[in-house]
Amino acid sequence: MPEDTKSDAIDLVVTACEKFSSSSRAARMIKEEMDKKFGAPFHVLVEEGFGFEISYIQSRTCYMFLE
Amino acid sequence: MPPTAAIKSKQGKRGTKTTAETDDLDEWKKSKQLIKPKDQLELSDAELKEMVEKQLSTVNPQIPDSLVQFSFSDGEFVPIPPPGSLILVFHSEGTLLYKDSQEARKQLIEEGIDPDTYFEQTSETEFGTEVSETPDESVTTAEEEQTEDEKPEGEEGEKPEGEEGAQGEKPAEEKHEEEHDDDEGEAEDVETQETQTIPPPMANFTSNVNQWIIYDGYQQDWEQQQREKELERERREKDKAPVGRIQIIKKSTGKQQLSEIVQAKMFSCWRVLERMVNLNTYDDIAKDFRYWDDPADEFREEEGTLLPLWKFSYNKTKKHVVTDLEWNPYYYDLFAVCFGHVDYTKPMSWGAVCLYTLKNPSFPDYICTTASSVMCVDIHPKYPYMILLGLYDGSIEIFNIQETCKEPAHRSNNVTDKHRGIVWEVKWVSNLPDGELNFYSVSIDGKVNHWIVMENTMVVTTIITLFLDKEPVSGPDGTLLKAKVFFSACASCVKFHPKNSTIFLVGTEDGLIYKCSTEYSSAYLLTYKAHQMPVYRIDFNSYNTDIFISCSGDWRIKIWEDNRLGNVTTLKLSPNLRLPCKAPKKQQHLDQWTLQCMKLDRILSLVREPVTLTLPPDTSGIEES
Repeated sequence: MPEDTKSDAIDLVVTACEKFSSSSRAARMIKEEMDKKFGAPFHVLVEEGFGFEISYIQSRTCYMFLE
Repeated sequence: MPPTAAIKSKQGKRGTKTTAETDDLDEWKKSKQLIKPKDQLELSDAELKEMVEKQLSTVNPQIPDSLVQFSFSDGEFVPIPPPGSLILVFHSEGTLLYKDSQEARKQLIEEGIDPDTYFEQTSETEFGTEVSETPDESVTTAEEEQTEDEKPEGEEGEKPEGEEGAQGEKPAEEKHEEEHDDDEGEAEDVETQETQTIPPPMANFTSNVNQWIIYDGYQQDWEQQQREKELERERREKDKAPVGRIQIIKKSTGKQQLSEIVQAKMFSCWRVLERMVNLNTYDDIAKDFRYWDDPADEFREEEGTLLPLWKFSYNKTKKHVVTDLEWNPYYYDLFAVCFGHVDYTKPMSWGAVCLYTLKNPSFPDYICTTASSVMCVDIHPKYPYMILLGLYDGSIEIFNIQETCKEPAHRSNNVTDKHRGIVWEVKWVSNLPDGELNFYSVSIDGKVNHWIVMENTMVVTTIITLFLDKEPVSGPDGTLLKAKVFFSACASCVKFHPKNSTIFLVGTEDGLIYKCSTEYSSAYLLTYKAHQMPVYRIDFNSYNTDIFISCSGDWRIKIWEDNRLGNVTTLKLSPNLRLPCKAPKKQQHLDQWTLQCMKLDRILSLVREPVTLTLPPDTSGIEES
């Protein structure tokens, strides 16, 4: 992701995960916020212990670990 | 009065009424006795029938007329215009434009319709005639998302025409028109354009997310951080040795998050490292410095050898001339070098004082730059961080290098408190009883100044203005004039008597040495006719304070004894000699002055070994080291 959107996204993720204990609620918040800010559909996965395969628009994805 | 009102409405605007008509109506309606007031005006019938016209006008009789206002500019009462009788009840801004106006035409052009043809159409529409030509297609800019062109609203003008269906001459258009939607035009050439954007680059991404994968991710990140730190460290160490202090500081402040304390610690680390590297590099020379002794010296009488050890230079001052050297009285390896210029034809616009230490010959430890060339320096014997500079333009600066090298702690006021010429020499003296620092300075304007350093400023008093004693001049009429002609002699050096701090020696540019006292400002205690050229330096013998030495530009060094008007010994050297300084150590490192250095062999032979000159017995045993 470009730098500014990346930093925004990271902040958003951190706040969402702190606020909501359930992953799906947090994911929902993140998705809605990202859609609002940056437009276009976003997929958000917040989980531990899963496998995935996704097609994504390049330079618009962020894969991060959060403690 | 209802009857009167009825009359008014009947007759419209003309508000005529007569008492006669009123009475008639009254009679007709109610046929009662007419009640007349007591002061009723009696008129004849003819007069009663007379029509009296009344007119309503818009003049408001209640408005005061002849209003005046005092005008201060004219100084009199001036009439003001009467207030208007217009009341604004309602105001509304609309968006409609008259279609024939300039603005409307502009709008139409913007939309792409030719206004003239538009008006033709509309006027023809009104009259039901055929339109000769259709407005041109206006093709909007083909953006990628747009799929079809739309005709602008000019079409709508044609719509009523088309819809009327009365024109048989344009069957083709109407056909098209019926097929299209309402908003789209029915004109001939409708083009459809289609584009599609390039889809954004897509990619697929597959992964698992598990506990161990997360852990691995964190580990990798940590390792990478460590690697980065190491790389930085290696880079720094590589660039250590040849690079000067300043560049090292720049590299070490790479990360902005380093706090001040950390930076200071880094700085001291750098310094230690730099010293270590220098030590290793110059190890041989350091050993020579301590222990070198040429055994051949024993066989050479009154001569020694001089081994050049170090060369100190600073690349910014490469063009400068070294004007003064001084050892620091406290740190035995630190010495100050002044950079300036002497040649009048090659002036330098700035000067510097660099303090070098023998432990680091590659770069000066402290650098203080000044606005003009530095001509002389003195380091305070008790406070070895107070550096006193005399500058070419006559001002004096004191640097406190403990605090900062960037700007002087004190500076002489540029207008009043400075010398009018080059300051040739400055000298600290012992503290005043109050503990304030003070010093003396001499310059070519002939003044010997005494300065006291206060909080923010320096207070100066002129001790003595040097003058020349001239012989009485023979006047025009034969009498001997005994005028004391005051030529101010230019002082070029000063030296205080080590035992008696009120007595000092001043050397001038004429070659004379004056022995003066700080208490008397008008007379010299003694005058020595020393040299033919300017006296550059005077120094006292450390052991026998009656003896002093002077050197001058006439290539001679002379040794003097107090109270003896003739000199004791003369030494002649070939080049200019400026500075026989008495260094605290045996070796002198005057490498910047290479000329002087080489030809100083002879004098240094005296320096290194105890010397016995052909002197009268009471002054034997001089050691000029």
